[in-house]
Amino acid sequence: MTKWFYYIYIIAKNSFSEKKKIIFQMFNHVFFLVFNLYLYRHVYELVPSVADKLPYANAVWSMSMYFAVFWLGLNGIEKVFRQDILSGNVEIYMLRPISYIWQKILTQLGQGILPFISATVFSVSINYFVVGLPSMNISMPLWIMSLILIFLLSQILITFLYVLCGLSGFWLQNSESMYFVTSKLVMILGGAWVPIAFFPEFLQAIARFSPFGGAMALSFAMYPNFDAHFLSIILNIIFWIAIFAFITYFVSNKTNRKLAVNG
Amino acid sequence: MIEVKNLKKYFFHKNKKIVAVDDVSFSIKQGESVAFIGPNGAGKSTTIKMLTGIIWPTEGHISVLGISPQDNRKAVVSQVGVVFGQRSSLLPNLPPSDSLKLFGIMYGLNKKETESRIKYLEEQFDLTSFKDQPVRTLSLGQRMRVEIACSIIHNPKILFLDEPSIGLDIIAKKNLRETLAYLRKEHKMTIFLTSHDVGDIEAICDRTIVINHGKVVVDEPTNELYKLVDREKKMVMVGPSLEEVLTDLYKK
Repeated sequence: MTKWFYYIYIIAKNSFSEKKKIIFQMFNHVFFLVFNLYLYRHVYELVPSVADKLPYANAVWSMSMYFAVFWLGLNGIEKVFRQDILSGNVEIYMLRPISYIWQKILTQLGQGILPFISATVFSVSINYFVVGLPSMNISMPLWIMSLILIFLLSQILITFLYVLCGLSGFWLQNSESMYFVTSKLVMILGGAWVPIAFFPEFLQAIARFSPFGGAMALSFAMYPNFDAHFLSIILNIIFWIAIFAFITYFVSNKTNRKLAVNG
Repeated sequence: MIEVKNLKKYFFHKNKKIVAVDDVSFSIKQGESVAFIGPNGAGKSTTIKMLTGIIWPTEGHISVLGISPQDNRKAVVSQVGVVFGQRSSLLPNLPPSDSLKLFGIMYGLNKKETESRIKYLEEQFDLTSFKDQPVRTLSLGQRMRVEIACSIIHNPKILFLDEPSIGLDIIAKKNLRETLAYLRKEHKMTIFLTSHDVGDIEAICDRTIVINHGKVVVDEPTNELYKLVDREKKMVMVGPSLEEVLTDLYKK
């Protein structure tokens, strides 16, 4: 296990050399946070009744954590697969005694860890100082522990989702269309466009029990009544992880036979 | 060490069959240094990729160190080193030692083993003069030395090289050839090389397999290839070759 952390550390060191890029990314993130705060404030003033469904502070926290998690970059793994397949670089990763998928996951984590930590610090700090902590029905320590568990599980699920999109490239040559559909479903059912608390009841259920909503369950964990759904959210994510792990294992075993790289 | 029997590889493009490798057979013993050459599109790289388990043959049998790369790719790649001259495996923003460390992790070396191998490779491959420079600032020749060092961090039994001297200047090529000759002599490493550079073949390989249109057309000791050409030598070169002259000029 330690050696994989060391692998991630070396990749992170390589990425950290591009400091200006990370600074620019964080500038973007802060801009989104501030824009988000302003936009939600405006909507809540226009339609005060929405606060009955989701308090302003919770909506802001939900959206900002959604953006912060994306900096980890596991959703970008499909793009990396696609570039490797189209350029033929996939062959150099196949020459190593660890699996191609595992190398790519570790590399994404290495590249994303610093932007993710920075984005999380910015999100938490700005939200805390501007809107305070979100109001929750459970104690803060219990909520934070639940958040960590949901974060870890949802990141495993999101990895499987996008790895499967990327693996489809071995058959489709270009997996961009798969990525487009998946990423839009994750955005909509993960609550990036409109918080799912504002969805009709049946759509909320679809969001909570679909793999796409499950992959962004961290944003649901910012809702006041999160404790009532905690168990169902966790079980849903575990269920989809098991399904996708099986499919990934099955599909990845077939990919070697599909690989054709020119000299 | 390497056994290839009746190897075939077909690709299909718009229902048209493209024959990349057509019934190739050969065997290579431990410590041999073999050039696998031919014109572009002859099937050289496809064969290397099948030998290392990257792509699957359509038909035929491959055994590398007694293992089929298709049945157990990981077992094969953990005992061989591979360098593709046209692709880089290095971390661009960090010094060569970090790429070596990353390879050490991937090949399951512990910290102590990795450090000792890095120290050894830095000395043997003359990496010390640029050991603190990020890889992106190195010359192509320096990078190729680091690539080879990375590919042998785990002290493999076989080294596959696919056009390693592509793009290198004469001095970098000379250094590369000396490095490979050293690996062969001191480490008894089996070398399987594809190259379009005749100088690489003369300097490194004692056996040459020529492939064309996917078929083996010649498999002879390198120093006996001249006998295959039915032609009298009409001119005798006196003095240094053009390559030697250019090497001296570059060094000035």
